[in-house]
Amino acid sequence: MNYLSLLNPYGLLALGCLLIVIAAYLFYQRYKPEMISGLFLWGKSQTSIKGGRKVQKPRMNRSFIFDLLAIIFLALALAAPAILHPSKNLQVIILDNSFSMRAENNHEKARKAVLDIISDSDRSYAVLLAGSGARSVITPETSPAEFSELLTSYNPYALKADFNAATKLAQNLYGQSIDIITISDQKQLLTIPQEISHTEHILAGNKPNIAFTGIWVQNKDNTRDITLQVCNYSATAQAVSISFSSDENEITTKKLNMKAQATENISLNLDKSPRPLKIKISAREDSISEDSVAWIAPSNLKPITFFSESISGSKYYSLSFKAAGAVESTEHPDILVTKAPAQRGRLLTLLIPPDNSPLTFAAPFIVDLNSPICRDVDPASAYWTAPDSKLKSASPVLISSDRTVLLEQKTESLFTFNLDAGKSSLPSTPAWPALISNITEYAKSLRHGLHDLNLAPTSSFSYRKNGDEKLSFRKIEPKKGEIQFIDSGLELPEISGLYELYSNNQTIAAFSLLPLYAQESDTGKLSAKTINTKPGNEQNDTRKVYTNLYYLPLLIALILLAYNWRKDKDEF
Amino acid sequence: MQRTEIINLASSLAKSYCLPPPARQARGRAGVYTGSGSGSSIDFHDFREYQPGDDLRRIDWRAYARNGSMMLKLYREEVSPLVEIIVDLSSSMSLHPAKEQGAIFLLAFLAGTLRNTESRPVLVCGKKRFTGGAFEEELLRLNFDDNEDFSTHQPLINNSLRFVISDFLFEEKLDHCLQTHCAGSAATCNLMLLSKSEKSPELFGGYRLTNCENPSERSDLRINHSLIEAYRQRLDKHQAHIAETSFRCGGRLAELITPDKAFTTDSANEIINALLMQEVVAIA
Repeated sequence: MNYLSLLNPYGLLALGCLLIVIAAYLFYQRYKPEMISGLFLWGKSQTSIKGGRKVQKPRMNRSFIFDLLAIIFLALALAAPAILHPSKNLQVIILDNSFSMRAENNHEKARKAVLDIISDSDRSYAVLLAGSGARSVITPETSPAEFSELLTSYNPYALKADFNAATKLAQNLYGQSIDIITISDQKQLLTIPQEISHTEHILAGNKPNIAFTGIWVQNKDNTRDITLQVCNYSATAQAVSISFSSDENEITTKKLNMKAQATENISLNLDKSPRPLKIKISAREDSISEDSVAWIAPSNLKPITFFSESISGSKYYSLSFKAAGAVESTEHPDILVTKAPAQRGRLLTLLIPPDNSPLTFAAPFIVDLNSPICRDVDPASAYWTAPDSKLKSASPVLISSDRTVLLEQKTESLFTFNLDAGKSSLPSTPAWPALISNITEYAKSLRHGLHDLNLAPTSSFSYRKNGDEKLSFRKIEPKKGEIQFIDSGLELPEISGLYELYSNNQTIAAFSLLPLYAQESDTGKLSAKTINTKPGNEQNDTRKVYTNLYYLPLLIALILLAYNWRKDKDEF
Repeated sequence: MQRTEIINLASSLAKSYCLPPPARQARGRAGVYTGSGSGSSIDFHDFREYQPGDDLRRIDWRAYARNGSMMLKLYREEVSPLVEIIVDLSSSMSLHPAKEQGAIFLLAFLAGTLRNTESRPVLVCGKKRFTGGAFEEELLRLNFDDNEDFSTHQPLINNSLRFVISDFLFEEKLDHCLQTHCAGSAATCNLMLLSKSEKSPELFGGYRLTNCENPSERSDLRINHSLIEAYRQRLDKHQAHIAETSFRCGGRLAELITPDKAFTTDSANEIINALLMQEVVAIA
């Protein structure tokens, strides 16, 4: 049912002007005395009014009434009356616009998910971006043809995702009772008002060799219909089961028989269960231990460890974060997953800006043993890993400034690294290692003068170092004018710095370390993408598109003022 | 302009004007106007039978030759009509200075005009009558502050010519007043003397209008063009009523406009022109 509402109720405060007008009429509408000869010629005479009163009794003359009406209508125009047209066909989609959505190409998947959703032409859609603030990018009036074009501008960059602001904006724009789809990689997205009863959830997860996307529909009776498409990109691993569990209890497990490089659709209905829902896909491979959801180093150098898990909201760390026990590459070439060894440390997903960004940087990760997060890290167990994959690269793990680079070790599946390229265990890794590239680039800059350092990794680099000479890094204070840091705009001042590579107290080269920022997983498990919303229960979805009516009272007020002005002109 | 100056101005201007012949014969002493009785003018009036003592020169011998009866030819008498000037002394006549001065001028001008025709004007102010030198003296001390009934005054003379000077801006007893002034007169000319603001008000905005003759009558009005127009329509209707009532009684109405503030020579000329246009006076 359409109904009238005020988009800006504060505009009614302008009704206070009525008091001013009434006061003006009370105190200033006095009558000048005039003696005349024939009063009867002026009409009906009055004999009851005493002269000399300072305050005249307000007379309901036309001018007074028109003034009051004009103010009332102006106030009404300021209040922006509008007819709201509720509709059950509006779907509001809130996209996580935080930078972490770039992890594992989640933003591309989210974009695709949105396009899949809007392919349902029976409904209209609105898309909002939840960044540090919220903004609307697609309105219900947007034609479907423009959706793809508008969505291409979805490039997550915000430091955080404020879903509450996005929800509030959605409610302001489309009413209190709306249907929201939230697409994010966070665990706790937002507190959804009770009025929002029916919420759909999109699942999407990717690990190095397994990807799945799907739709999770929260029914009104709190059951859930889940449709997943699982893709196994692994060349060898065979997925054997997919399990759904809550925080503590396993809900159901469904067997899979999904061969390598296969795709399978899974549909199931889940009974009422608490949220969030964990989904874990296990694969049959001797390197996989599905029960060990923490860091795993596959023995055969073919890690296909994958997890799907809710992770906490994005949190950006300062210096204390710059620790990682190990690095593991992911499907996304720019994303390195680091894990503390011995399952004690927290899992960290380090996100690196895209390649076309001047901030592009890969590694090294500095292990700061003073960091709380690395409290239990054994320096000897800080590794980098380099899965044997064509698409993946890894970066060296370096201890912090006053420690030497770890010597290369090769113990079965795990690698450590020293800077002796000649003995590198991964000579075929194309993008490896960025650090060496950086040093090389910086060495060039020393010869050609100072300029901004481009720390972008390059696939073609050369590094020569003789013999067994060991190199060490330490942080140095930059000299003014020598190094010009690239301002990343991120609040990570402590991780930035100038480091030098030295050997036997002789500086070989120096490089700057640019900020990285990361996302913490507090579950101890790797995660890709999680959609989670809190459903309401009773009311139906509604969409409210309004028709502005402010011009009507404005027009009436202007007519009244014009008429009154003409009358006043007549009178005075 | 002082009242003496106004009187002198009126007297000097009046020398060039006279009263037009009255429509009905008036009574009076021998003069230049045709009277209501038989007299010695050259205008034939009537026949009657000869009676002893009649002037033999007026016997119509032709009639005697035709039928043998002695008929006498009578001729109109020529009189100087008796003129009464009745003036309204209510305070509305002095509401505007120029209106009061206009009334004085009008009185003096009519008196001067009448004297040109050897008439003797009588000034009737309420219950007093002034003539001759007293007329002029009374003009100097005339006060417009009498709120008594305008129709209450000394009995008027039959067959006299009457000029009634008033603004006639009252409703109560208006008809009675007009009829009283016209009754028994040879001719009555009601001179409606209005100030310019009374004829065409220029009040705009909020006004508390008070009747100058009765201050208890007030009216708070927001005066605009429409109200002004309504005022004019009521004034026209009022004047039409006065004219109609006067006509039924054998009189007529003439309207004279004075300025509001200063009465000048131009104002005097305008009044004279209005009198000429409305044939109240004529050029001598």
